[in-house]
Amino acid sequence: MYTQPASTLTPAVIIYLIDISDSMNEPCGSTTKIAMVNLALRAAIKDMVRRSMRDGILQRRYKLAVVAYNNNVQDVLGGVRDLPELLQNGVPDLMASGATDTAAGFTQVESLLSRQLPELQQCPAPLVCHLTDGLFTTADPTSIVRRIRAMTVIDGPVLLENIYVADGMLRRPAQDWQQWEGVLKPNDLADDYARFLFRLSSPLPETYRQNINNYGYHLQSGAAMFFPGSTSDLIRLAFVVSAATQLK
Amino acid sequence: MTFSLKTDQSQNLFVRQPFSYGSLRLLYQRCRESELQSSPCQDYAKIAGNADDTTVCLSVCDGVGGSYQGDYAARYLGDAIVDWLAQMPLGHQDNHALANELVNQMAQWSHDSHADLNRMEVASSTPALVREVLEETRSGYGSETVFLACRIDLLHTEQQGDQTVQPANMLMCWMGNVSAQIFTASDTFTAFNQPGDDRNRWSTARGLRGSVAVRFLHVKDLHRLIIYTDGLVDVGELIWRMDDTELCDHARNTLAMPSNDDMTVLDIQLMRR
Repeated sequence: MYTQPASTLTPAVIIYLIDISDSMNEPCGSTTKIAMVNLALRAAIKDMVRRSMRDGILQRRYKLAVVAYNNNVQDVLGGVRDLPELLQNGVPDLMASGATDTAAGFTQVESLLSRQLPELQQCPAPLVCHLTDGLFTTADPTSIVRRIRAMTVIDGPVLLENIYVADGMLRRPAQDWQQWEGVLKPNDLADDYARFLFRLSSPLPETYRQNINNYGYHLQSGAAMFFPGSTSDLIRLAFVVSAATQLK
Repeated sequence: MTFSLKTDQSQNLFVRQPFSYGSLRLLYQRCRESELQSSPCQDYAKIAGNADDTTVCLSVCDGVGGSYQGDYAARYLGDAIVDWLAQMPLGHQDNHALANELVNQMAQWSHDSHADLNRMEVASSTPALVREVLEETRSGYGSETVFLACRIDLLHTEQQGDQTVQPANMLMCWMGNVSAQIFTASDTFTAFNQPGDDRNRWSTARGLRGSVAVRFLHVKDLHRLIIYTDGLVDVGELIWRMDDTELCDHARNTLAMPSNDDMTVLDIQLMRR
């Protein structure tokens, strides 16, 4: 599973589901959470560009959607877009305000995937990268997430990655994120909502783990696609994971 | 040099042609992405014989897709190394001294080629983020290629019982995952540089990334030499048994696979006289 390469014939679909509720305006280091997310999104898209270049030409190896949610849901790119098409209009810059309707965000993702899935059977399993900084303020999204994770292509079920932007959730804080093993079990987490998101997350596929570790990280076998977004380095790592589809 | 063939990176090619001591078969196929975009093949092959074809120099290069215009490094190095091999004096050589000389040459080629690469403009219509990646890749990595190059000096044939054997001296050098098979009988070969080496490569910006291998060989009876790039790695052990139609069909069928890559096979068969 999860070995199909992202190629022009079989592009990888990545959907970013971003919480843009008002709390994302809170400070985080020398900046705000939402500014950090915008930088990480740009870095992830840049990684995809790097991984899609051939002869100085950007190949159509990735397709992206960006769904932003607060009280409302915005389909930022107006559906799933080829990477070259997205770049013609520039990388989106997200602004934060309002409440946290996580379930509505996942419902939009489910709808996008349902429409796309028949065309994606030969492609790498789609990946949903969800980033949030706090507890949902409306319905519990668990049942929708389960339906999304039950969607499947030949390469494997849809992958769900969660990034939780909060401090102090790791029982054993890492000194060096490059050496960090990843989150292996719920007890590694000190926060109830972190454990909730951990349980919704897919296991990190071996191909993704190897591709990430080629960047100098040391994620362990058995780690989940769950990342604490407590520093810009970690958010960057988590977004890099989202683009770490196998290449040919 | 009279006998000479080099690939045009904008064209697929299949050719079988005779030369004084045998025949040459070359398959050169762009990957699907390059065909769709009308962009160059990142493989490159060149072969050149001397006036009587007793010395043949050749190179097969595979430009690195993630580098800056890998087709450029493949073409530049492929040409330069064939010229370098052609001017080597005949006879036995010291592997270590040859390796040192080649390392020095490759450093000089990096210097010259990277200056050339830096003069190339990125198209003004290129989106900002793509331009950023291209410029970082050019300055950080340059154009990169893996390669395998070879000089074959055919010696006088010898009679062994009722058999005529073709001794040869061979000088081989390589970096990265271009593979070779040297046949000492019609169905017996020794594999050089087995697939899988994706660390060693030559870069216009950094020179040698990893190490270059150099081997001098005396082959008592050389029948055939096959060199192929990693686009054909799944059938590497079978190429010698494929006739022209099978080889071309396989290359075409491979284009439908998501993992398809540029494909080159250079196959030199010496006739028994």
